[in-house]
Amino acid sequence: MTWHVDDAAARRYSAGTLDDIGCASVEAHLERCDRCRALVAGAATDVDLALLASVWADIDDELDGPRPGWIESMLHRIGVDEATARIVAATRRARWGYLVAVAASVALAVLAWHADDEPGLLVIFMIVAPIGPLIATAGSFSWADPVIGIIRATPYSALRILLLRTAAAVVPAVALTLLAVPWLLDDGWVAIGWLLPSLALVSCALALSSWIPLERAVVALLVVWVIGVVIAQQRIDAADVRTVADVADFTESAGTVLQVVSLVAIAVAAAIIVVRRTAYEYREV
Amino acid sequence: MGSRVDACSDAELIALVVDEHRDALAELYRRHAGWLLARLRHRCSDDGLVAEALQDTFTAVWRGAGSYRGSGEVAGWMWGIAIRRLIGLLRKRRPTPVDTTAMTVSRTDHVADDVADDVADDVMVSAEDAVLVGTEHGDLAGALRSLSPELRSVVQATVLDGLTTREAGQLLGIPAGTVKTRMMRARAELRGALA
Amino acid sequence: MNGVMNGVMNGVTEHSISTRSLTKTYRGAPALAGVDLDIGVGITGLLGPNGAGKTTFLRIVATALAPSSGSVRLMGLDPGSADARPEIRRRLGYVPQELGLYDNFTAFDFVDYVAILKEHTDRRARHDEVRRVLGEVDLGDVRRKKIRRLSGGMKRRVTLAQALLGDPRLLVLDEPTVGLDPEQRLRFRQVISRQAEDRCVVLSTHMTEDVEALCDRVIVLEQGAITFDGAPVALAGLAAGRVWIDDRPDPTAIVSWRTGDGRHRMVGDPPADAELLSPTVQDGYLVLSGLHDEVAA
Repeated sequence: MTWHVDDAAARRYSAGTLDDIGCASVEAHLERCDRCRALVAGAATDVDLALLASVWADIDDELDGPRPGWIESMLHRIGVDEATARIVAATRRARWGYLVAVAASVALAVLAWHADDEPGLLVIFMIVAPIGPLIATAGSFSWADPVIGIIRATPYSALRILLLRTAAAVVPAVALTLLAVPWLLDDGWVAIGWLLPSLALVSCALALSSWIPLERAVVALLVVWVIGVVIAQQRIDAADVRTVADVADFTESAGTVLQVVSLVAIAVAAAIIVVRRTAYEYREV
Repeated sequence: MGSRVDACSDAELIALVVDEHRDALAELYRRHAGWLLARLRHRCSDDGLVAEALQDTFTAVWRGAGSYRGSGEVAGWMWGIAIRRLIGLLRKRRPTPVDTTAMTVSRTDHVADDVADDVADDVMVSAEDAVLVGTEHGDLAGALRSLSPELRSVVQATVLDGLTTREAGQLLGIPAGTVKTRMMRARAELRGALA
Repeated sequence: MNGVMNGVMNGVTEHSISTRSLTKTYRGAPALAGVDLDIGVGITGLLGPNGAGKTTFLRIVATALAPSSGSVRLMGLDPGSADARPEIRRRLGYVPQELGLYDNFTAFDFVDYVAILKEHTDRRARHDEVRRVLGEVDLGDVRRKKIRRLSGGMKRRVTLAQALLGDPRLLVLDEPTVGLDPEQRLRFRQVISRQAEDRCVVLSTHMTEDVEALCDRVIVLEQGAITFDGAPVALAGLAAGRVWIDDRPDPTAIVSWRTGDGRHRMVGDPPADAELLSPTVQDGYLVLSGLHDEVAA
């Protein structure tokens, strides 16, 4: 290659005053010759150099910062502010317990699909389904979280963080359990009857966590739920339930009670959280 | 450390970037950002868009350095990234252009348009075209001088910038079909000039 | 709202930390028993055995814990007030005792996350601030490294960096030098000295050398109460005339240990003709604890 870009051409090219054909020649050549690339770069004006420097600063900064994952990017796109998006996304990155809960929920969906043949399985589904979101709550934000010490000293609302991270863990858990619904539609309200109880358990855990650490609140509620299940089991035995139809009949009456109790529990828990919101921001213990 | 990256070839720098050496990327920037800026400016008059395309190019190089196959110059590879980023940004700014000049072209062009649209319009130019245009043999200036400006811009976009017909259309603001027909005419004229 | 503004205005002249009868009890057992303190600009060290109440005190000062009774004023503001609390927290940096980090974050990502919680909303300015504090603790080069791949000393520095975000008026450090080797401790002291020019730094430590090297003032806590409050030299002075060296250990000494050249260094009541040494803060601290054991007994 004997032809190279001369100084004058480099300057005119850089300034934008070179004719079309000259430009084409220069550009075809630049892809192959680093000496002429340096020549063209050297012909840059101070303004150009400032622009190049500022672009590099932007590149440097972009490479430093965390690369938003798909959740964060999606949240940005629907207009959520950066802090909220980051807190929600950090839940996934920071707490594995959430993954366990999600896996359990998926297992439940599969279990429910087989529930058609076995009334016992259906009952098991009703027992276990509301717990998935509750466990997800424990996994989302723990007062034993190592970073909690630092977080408590920041001005950002601790209650807001708790609610966001709980939502970030519970929403996917609920969504996955909802996958079981199509297979349960013939079983009546059971398909959706687990939803309110699970929300009740989660909101009660949040309310209790204004007094005790969140994991302990979750354990306490699991115990309460198991006791409730045992009582219900005794009633089932007493009612001499045999077939799926019997289960449906029985659970229909018991089910309404469960839904109403759940609604009340959610309302009471919400009230507690509002009334005791300072306890989340300025801990007693 | 600084003198080490100075001595590396472009391909070696890319390998270092794959290993997350920020100073290798800085050296690539030092070598290439200048001419990339100038060349992008010749395609788009909006400096803000050009700066954004340049930034996106180097972050793409940082993240995608592994996809450089080692064939051809790093400079050419980087230009491919840069021009496509610019087109992407331009596309966001304005919708797909409708060619109002279609009304005035000859009947043969019209027919050719329809044919061209049926064929896949994301095609890149062939090596034959590159020879024809003279990029391989150095008589680029001569080849281009013989073409009219509208044909010249299409040849530059497809042969020199390495764009597909669709991309060239997005850059120039004309439908891909028109790009195809103009390329055909340019090819015919260049072959005629050689004869 | 007026009260908040007055507090803010007064924060410049008032003490950074002011407590009156500060008490904290856990299930009946007092961790802090009526502490009265005024701490201002400069470096103040908290010494004391485990369970003395140092961590409890620092958590209260960092607003991570509410007191059981008594009053606390930080930079003139009351952390019990819902309006004032965020104001305090904006001007505060806290390094808790437990090394709290997310291992899969990079150093930059972690400090950036805390910066978001500290309400640095402008991304570019926030990134510049993150780079600044990481530079302050000499972690600039490893900012893109995942925390799990950093050494223990570097992890400590990450937690220190987040505390420096926003140039806080009040810096609260709970056992910040635990697990650091001597060189790292020296570097840490340099960083802290730089910070203390015009702000209030309170740190707790087991290491009396930290106090000697860094602190303008030392407070000794024992079972939730203050047993000493003054300059480190004054604490050392408690052992004046009570430190000596001899070829053989003296059984009546409070404590004795073998020095590098085979002789024994002792603290206690020296015999009349003993070869006396000038006391260190550690000696004074030992005498102080010894005194208290006597009083208790």
